[in-house]
Amino acid sequence: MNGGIPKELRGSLRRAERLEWWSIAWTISVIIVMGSAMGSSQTMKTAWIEDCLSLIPPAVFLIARRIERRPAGARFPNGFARVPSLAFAIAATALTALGGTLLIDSAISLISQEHATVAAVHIGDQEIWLGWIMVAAQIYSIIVPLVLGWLKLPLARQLNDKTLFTDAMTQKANWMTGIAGIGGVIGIGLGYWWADALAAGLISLDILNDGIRALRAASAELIDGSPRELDSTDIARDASALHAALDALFPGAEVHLRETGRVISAQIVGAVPPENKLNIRDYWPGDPDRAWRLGHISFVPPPRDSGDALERQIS
Amino acid sequence: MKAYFALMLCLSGCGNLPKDPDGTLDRIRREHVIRVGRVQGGSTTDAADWRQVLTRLEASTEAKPILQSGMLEPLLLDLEAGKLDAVVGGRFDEKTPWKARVSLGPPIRMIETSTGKTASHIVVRNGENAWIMMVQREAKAAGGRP
Repeated sequence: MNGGIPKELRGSLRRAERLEWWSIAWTISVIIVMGSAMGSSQTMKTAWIEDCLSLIPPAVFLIARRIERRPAGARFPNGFARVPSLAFAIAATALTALGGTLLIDSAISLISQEHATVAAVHIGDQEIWLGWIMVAAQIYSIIVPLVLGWLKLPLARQLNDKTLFTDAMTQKANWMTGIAGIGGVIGIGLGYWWADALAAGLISLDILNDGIRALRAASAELIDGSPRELDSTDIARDASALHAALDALFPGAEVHLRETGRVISAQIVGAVPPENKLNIRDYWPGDPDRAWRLGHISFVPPPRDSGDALERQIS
Repeated sequence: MKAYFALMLCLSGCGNLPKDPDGTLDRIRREHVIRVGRVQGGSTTDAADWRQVLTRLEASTEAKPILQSGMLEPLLLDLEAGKLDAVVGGRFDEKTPWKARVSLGPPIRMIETSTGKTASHIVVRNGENAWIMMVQREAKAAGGRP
């Protein structure tokens, strides 16, 4: 299993890694462009912070990939497949806290009626309102994540990778930030001082939303919940099918499914493994190409006498 | 990058933005009056500098500056509250905390002493972006360089 990574995923994983490196490079270019056009606008500041934050998911993905590869040992006999979940829970907490802080920040700007000054800059002899440069920077900051998100989404689905998926969704959602940002800057230009703080508030709501979404995905896994769909908090469809198949194979036994990284572990309580089924992939009910999803299966045999099964498990 | 520049050129053509949230520039043009706060006790060289800028502003807005003398901070408070359109004759440290509350024009005549550097600035109200841009333009044209 090479540190818990199914063989057929290795090519896609390498592609995802390359994409994440590119993602970091492009995001840095966005951060530089946005930073140099920032001025004293609250909208631009918030959008810029969001751009900086979008470095976290690719970084988490790449770091987690390194650790995930390590072989299991005496100290970590279950391997490191859960490292991304832990890293993601930490990053999501930071994201949520920052989104909240920025929301309060823009609320204070709005209440204290701060008027953003966006004056002119000179490029050669040309005098240009800084707002137009901010709009151009915002457009650039929409295009880059839009393309990256679009490239990452199919890979994330194939790899069933939550980090990559959350990253792709966050980037795809960035166009809304861009539109809100452009609206805020044009609003300042039209003489609506409140447009700036309002747009900043909307962007911070989006950051907060990203944080909460990631936090929910990571915590469901960390507390051994049933495998979830990538794009919702519902139980994953392939996991439900697996559950039904195992129920049919082992009537009367309890089936517990949980997710460790991208693979599902099944525990059958109250049954013994059948003699004739020795390959784990034989248990997978759906598409054989996705059979890697079932990573482990374990059995807790029923008690020999009529004693309390639960007590025996614990002892 | 080419598209970026093309976009900027196209956008810079639309010269109607920005507008002032409180309509300072429109009001100055309509009423032909610029309400200016003048800091007492400034040097005559500084006064010559800001007078030059005011003359240029007078020409481009067709409005007369009406001067009102006072001390720096009370004038700045009046400016912040919208009772003045500009404050002239004030010298500021580069790191003045007023930077966040009002908009300082380009530095004119930087003076360095043993205790630090100050420059004369024409100060306008935050967020009145069209008016700020006009004051900056005229201050630069009047030779507002350190």
